[in-house]
Amino acid sequence: MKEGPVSRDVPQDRQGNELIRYTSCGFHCFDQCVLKVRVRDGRIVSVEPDDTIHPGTAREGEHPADELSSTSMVQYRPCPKGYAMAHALDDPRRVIYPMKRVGERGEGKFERISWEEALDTIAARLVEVKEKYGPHSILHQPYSYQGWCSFPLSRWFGAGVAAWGAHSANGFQEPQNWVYGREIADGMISLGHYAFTQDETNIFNAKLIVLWGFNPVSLMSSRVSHNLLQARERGIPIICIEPRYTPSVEVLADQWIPIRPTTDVAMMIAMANVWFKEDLCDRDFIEEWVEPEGLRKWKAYVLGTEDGIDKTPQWAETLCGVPAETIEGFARLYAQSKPVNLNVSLSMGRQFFGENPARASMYLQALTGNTFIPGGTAAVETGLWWGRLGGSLPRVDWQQKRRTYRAPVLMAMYKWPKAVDLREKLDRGEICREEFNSSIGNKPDNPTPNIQLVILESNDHVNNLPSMNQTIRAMKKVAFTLVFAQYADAPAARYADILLPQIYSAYEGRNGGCGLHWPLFTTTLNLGSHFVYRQKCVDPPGEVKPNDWVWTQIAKRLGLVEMYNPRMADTADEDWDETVESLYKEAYEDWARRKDIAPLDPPNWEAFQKRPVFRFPMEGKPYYPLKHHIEAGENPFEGTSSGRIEFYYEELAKGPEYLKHNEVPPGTGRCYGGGNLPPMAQMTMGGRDTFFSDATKKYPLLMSSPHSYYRVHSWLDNNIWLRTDCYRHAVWMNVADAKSRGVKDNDRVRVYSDIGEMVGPAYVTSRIVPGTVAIHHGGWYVPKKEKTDLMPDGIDKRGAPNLFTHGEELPETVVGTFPCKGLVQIEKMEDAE
Amino acid sequence: MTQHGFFFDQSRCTGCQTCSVACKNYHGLPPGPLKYLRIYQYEKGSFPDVRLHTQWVPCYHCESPVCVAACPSEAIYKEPEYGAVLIDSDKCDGCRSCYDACPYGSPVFESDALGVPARKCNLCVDRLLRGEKPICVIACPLRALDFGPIDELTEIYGKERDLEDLPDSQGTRPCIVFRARREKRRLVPYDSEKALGLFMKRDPLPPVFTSIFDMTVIPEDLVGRGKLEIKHASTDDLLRCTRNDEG
Repeated sequence: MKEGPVSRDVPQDRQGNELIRYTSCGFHCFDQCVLKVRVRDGRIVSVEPDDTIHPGTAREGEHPADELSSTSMVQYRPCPKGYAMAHALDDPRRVIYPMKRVGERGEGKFERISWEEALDTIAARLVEVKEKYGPHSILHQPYSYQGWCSFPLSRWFGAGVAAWGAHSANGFQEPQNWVYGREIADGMISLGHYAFTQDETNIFNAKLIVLWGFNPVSLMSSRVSHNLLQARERGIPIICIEPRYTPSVEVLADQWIPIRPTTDVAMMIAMANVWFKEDLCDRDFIEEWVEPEGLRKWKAYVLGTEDGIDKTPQWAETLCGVPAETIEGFARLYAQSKPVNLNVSLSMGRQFFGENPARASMYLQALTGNTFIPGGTAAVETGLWWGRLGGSLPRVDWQQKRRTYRAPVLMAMYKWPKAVDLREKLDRGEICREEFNSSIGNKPDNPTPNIQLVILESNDHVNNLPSMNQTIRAMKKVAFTLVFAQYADAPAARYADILLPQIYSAYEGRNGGCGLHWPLFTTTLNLGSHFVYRQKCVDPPGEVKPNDWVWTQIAKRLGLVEMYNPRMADTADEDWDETVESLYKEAYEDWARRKDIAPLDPPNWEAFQKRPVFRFPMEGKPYYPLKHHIEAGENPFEGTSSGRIEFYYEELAKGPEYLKHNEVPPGTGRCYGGGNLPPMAQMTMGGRDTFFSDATKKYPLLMSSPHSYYRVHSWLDNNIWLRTDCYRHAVWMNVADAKSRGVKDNDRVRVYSDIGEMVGPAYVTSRIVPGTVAIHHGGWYVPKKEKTDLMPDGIDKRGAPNLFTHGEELPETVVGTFPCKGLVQIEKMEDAE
Repeated sequence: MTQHGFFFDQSRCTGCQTCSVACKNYHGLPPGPLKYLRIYQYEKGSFPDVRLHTQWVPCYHCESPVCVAACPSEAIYKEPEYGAVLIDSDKCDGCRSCYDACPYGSPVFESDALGVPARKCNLCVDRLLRGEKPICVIACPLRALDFGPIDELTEIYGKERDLEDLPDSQGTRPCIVFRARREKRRLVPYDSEKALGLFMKRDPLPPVFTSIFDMTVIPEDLVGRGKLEIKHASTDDLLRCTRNDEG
């Protein structure tokens, strides 16, 4: 069939007075789609999908699929969020001036103040808090993690705390170190290959694709989903193991194997049991690459030669709900289908001892020799299909001065509310320093953080952290809170002393990225074979300013501007955008001259501005995990103590006392703080917020909080184009669970546990495993007037799943996991509100 | 006139609503029931043998448009170049005869108030005149849609003009070619009845439910979106049925 006209080389003017701009969403999404924006009279007229390549093509990628996909020369089509966000710019509810709190924290009462007053206040409070409480009193989130302190002025202001762990990669991040001896961000090499990534075309080399707990349609709707769809249409078998029948299962998978959440590791162990007994492992691979003593120990555990429990498919079926014959059949298919492209989701690691299924996934690939072959994966976190661009983006040289202060790592990143909560007890002498530090993932003899000034910038950290009520308590206790937000009723904003308006950086941009704010060059977290320069489309309303501008003004007040942003120290407000742009032009031109980039013949800056998307041509054989190392004859596992893949991690075997007092791995600043995590992957029964916890007697339903198609974390929850048009934010309940409670679809239900309570509509369905519940992540905590001891700021009437997730007190362990599970009970509400 | 139409590949549709949101955005429509393009998602079967269906319902710009015949004001007509069915809003008095006649419920209304004019998908005729495809077609992230002269679509994608659960095409001859959802392939053995038995028990804790029938017998109105409903008694009903639970 003839495709539409493709002669529109230069964007054309629809109405004679429209500007065409290209941008990308630029919030923390795994995709960076290309948005074409029509602007008239300073307002956005419409947003259209990527036409920077193959304009006018409907079924792009189909004719012929192979050629397009293997070059990555494809469109990056946005999901509904990109379109809907454009309408939010002039939302009358939006915060468009600096505000200060006038009621109590949590009441959400603010009044407008000048930028002058806001910036003076912030600078004064920073100085005051540092003087009064010392350097470890200032916390900036949500990106103080992985050893970082994200407070933009920390390194010159001489205050701030860093944290270990991560909200994203947890569960998988630490095991990757133990099993492969490689850090999560390790291995950026020529052309930006992250060591464990794969090119999108790698999946076409697989004989079996497994999506384990993975719902790419909701999280990676652009390239990952499209590639998996093409793989299915080419006949590559795809199996999805998931507690819910998701749109991904419907469209991408040949077969759904429903499984109870928190039991995945049992099924993995049983699969290995079949392989050991039927001699289905890849012996040559194991011989060469797997450390034998640890494997022997794990095999003994799997076969039960020490504990007397043979962990067969019959053992696993009662735990997982997956029939033994299915586990056996799947194990055999897996072992005989090399290469297997195993894609595990992060959610599997976000549970009590989530390090267990994370490690076991890596074992499965190693036992079958799939870790680093074309078509295989290393089963690290799925989000990291980083493609070819991770390390080769143009970067602005901001010429920031050398640091004079390095913020120490003093806790696990999700433990800061606990650090605030426990501080009074420490100060009153009710607990000792060792106990305080141990319960927040800090080394006992380290300094104790005394967090008194909290800055929440970008994303809603109150809504996104587990144990939301504890986070709220922490926000109320500290001396000063500064929050950047688009809405005054966003959960974090309600606890602000000073509330600063936030730009929509997709459309109102000019956050340059000199702090850690999203820069104008953006690339995707998966299959990132392109980058987008985000052109500014419209001016923000009111007095909304870029975050970089805000920090530059604060830096001026603190006398730090020559260190933080020297190249823009004297830039007048009206020249701000132009100056940022000139720095980006310089960065682009420097990049284009690089000797690894110049042969790709990137267009000059002016031509690039017409279509500001650069696609890396993907020629040659697709990248598979560790390909460069293998081809260069290097050992990719030299970071482990044996130089091989390790099933058994010695450090963890040293016992609770050792783990409490030592960094693991040594010298990393991480303190796992708990000794109960087994040194190798095991099924640990009865942990908090798991399916077999004793607490199910009181709270029998295990809630998960999957990502939504219509939000990125808490972004866009109140967007009426999505919220009322596209979806209902409801409590997913299985048919049997609903029946036994007299609940029908759309009935209002009360969901409660020992730490939270909400009311909302039920979605009754056969699409979820019985005994489990799902509430999508990112729904805002919206309090009712009705207050209780459990919900001192009001019972939630919207549905914020983090009211039910326990982050504060995993029994006797800190480790790195950031759980997204919670045990709850549900009852039908009789009243109507 | 060359009759143009759509191709909808149900096997690729996730029900994500991108096409619908892009449509509203392009046409400047407010949030709410003015959906030129409605996406329906509904389930069939019972756990664990459940399927999730989607339907993609714009106006199919029928070859025998019953709405044209039903309109007492002669406000609806067949546009001569592409065969689009269009409404002349100056002539529409909001009597809703077109809505009653259309088996797909394609005319939409901003509210339930009497006299509100009917509006509908206009096939993006302005885009067609510029040589572009309708916005929904180029917006689909999984490339489930196509557009063109209906004869060409038939040649490429086949003759299937009906889809499970939609009204029979004989009466109105909608200009759309369908590809149905795929059958599942059972790659490894799976005994559903045994699985139900396993899901019932949580030893040594109390059972999760008491009988397999708790799972397999599904009374009317118990589940959300248990069937396809495309004709609506009110705008609220339209919104209820065109929302999904993926958020």
